Amino acid sequence: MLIKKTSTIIITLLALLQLGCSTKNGSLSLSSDYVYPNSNVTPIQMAQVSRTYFSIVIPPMFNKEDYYELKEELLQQVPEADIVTNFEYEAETTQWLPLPYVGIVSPYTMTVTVKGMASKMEVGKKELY
Amino acid sequence: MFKSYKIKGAEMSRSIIVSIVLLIFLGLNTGCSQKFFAGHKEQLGFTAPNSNVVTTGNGKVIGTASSTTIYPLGATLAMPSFSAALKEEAHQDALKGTDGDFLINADVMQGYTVIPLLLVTIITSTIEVEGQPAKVSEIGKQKLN
Repeated sequence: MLIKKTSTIIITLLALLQLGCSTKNGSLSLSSDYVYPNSNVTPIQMAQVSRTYFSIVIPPMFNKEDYYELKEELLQQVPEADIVTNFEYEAETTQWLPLPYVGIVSPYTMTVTVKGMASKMEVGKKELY
Repeated sequence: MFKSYKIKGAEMSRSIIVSIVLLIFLGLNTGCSQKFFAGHKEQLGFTAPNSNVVTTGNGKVIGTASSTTIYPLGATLAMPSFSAALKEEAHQDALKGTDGDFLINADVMQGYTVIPLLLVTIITSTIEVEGQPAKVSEIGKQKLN
């Protein structure tokens, strides 16, 4: 009887640990940086970087420093690249254990993925008439 | 004994008034503030494909703009507002003293302060933009086939 009760509690706790509600927030930009009209842009290859942030009580915040770190990491994959075109940003935030009362101290994870076409940009002067 | 009780009552009333005044001042100073990264924008002004664009020699510049709104008690729409006009005001503030017409590679930060008082809620919204000033040095015509 005791073993049955204990296993029920353990199974319930394990099931609760699986509970999580997620929300996604993303954006799609033409490029990670300004593309001069007087430039030549050469696509090199697709690149992608993901990073997960963790917090308790308040969901993690994505700040300016994180943005630049991820962009730099992405560009380091393709050393010749200066910019990322068709730049996609996606953040998935998950609240674990979203239960009444327990939810106040929920752990949160936020996985941010940035991807796009790593490209080279050469700025010059366009001949106009 | 009776006289002593009356003095205590007066002191109590005074204490209550002082406490209320202190609470109001405390409320004025204990607004909750939040500032967050609202995104990276490649450019804050249109550039025609038939143009040459150059950066100005100013390096990165910062501009801010803020607006304050007072909401009555019970207003359900009491929330920070980040209007296009406020963003443009911050953009123009950043360009002050530079030769630039617009910013490129701009980071936008948004922030707000909420001061909840007894009958009203005061909300201040702030936008900060930081970027490189640039200008269109030439607009011409491209050869099209």
